Amino acid sequence: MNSLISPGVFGRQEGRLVSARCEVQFDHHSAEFAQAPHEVLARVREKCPVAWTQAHGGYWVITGYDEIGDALRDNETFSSHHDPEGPKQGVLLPPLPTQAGILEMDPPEHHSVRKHLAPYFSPSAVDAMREELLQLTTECIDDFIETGEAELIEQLASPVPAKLTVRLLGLPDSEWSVLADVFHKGAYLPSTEENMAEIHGMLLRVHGQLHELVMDRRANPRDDVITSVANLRLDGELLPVEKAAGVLLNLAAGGIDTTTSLIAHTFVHLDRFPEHREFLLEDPSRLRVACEEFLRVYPPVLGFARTVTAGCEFAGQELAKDDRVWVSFGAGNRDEKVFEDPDDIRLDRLPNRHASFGLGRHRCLGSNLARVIWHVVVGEVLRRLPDYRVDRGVAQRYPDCGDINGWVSVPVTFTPGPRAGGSR
Amino acid sequence: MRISVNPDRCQGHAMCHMMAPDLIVLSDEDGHATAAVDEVPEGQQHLAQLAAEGCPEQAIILS
Repeated sequence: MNSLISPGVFGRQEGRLVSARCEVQFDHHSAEFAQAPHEVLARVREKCPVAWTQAHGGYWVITGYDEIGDALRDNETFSSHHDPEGPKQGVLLPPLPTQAGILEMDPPEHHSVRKHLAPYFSPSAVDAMREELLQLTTECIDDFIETGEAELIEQLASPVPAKLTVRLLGLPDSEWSVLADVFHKGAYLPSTEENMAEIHGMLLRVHGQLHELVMDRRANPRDDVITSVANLRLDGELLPVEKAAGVLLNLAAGGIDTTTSLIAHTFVHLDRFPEHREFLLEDPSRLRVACEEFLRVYPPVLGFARTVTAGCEFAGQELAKDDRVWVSFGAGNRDEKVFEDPDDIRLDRLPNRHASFGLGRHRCLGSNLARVIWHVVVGEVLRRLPDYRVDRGVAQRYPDCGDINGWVSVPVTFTPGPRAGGSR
Repeated sequence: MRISVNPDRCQGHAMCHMMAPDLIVLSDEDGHATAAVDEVPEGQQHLAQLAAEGCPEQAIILS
């Protein structure tokens, strides 16, 4: 027997013998995982697509593509709900201190809220933001293009999604840096008392502003996403202001550091693989298909958690009520049953049914927006600083990629170029 | 070859539209897909195939 698989437990369920529990040593928050997440996930999947680990009080790890789809499409058995007082602990593992908007809701509440938000993130709604995005991207690049050096996270990949999000939410433009900091620093800073206090303070500030905006839009409705959430009724009742502000905050959390991370991985990848950079420079229309391969290979969120609502047999394993489960999109994306030569990065891979935006009813609401932001930012960098080189000795990954899989910093040098948006 | 989309499976990933923009329409409401045609025109069968194989929810039905 392989050392990763323990004898486990045998049990009977409805008169049938259930196979031995497949147990692995795994922790998606460990330093070992952060160094080589895909190698670790591949080892787990090879042992068993649904396996048990003792880390964080014990949880199931789902790494097979088909099993991931089955779990994510069964919202009744695999709940996203988060009750800080109860066994249902939402989609992060360990859990967040508070409930996180639609990400941690179950049907029917989830479907009702999502239906109201969806039109603001439809492909046509998102297409209408392209010009504005290009302008924001141009301004950011103009700020460093003449110097020949930049830190692409702090000066581009972090501000562009954050600046767009403050506008989408109706916050003052000046708030973008608070929003960028709270989710970017919140994702990678070690959880020391000082850091936590700083991040918590920023979160409270943003939450307070959203709270006020919800109240304002109830009195003065506009055609925007805040008004839609502020006036949303469930069973005839307006959402409590707290909850409405939480839904809005979650929209920001969902879109800011995830998009930043995908862009960061792309910049680093194109530095490591010059032939891929050349491939995109030759014909920028290849970016659209390439985006999906970057998503498959570098998912900003490697997995989300669920809570089992009723004991059941799943993929030959016996799951118990209240068991926690970590469903790994990142692992599914490398499952050779679905992807040919999954570890080969092919920027023209088609078809490419990666699971990086999740599967089932919780599919990332902002996926179309994320693609457009990526397309504009990466396209402009390739156009305006095509010869950038990453300072690999200084570029820094997140020390823990269990929640968000990103880069702290990606410093680059390049041949200086002219500003595009006129003089300062 | 006929094409349709199972509305209970589709979640609006929009991958099919990227591969076969003439065969699929995306809703302005929720971004979910429906077939733009009933019969796949000659010469576009391979695109329909790609759209079906590339759907993360396996929602596209070819018959």
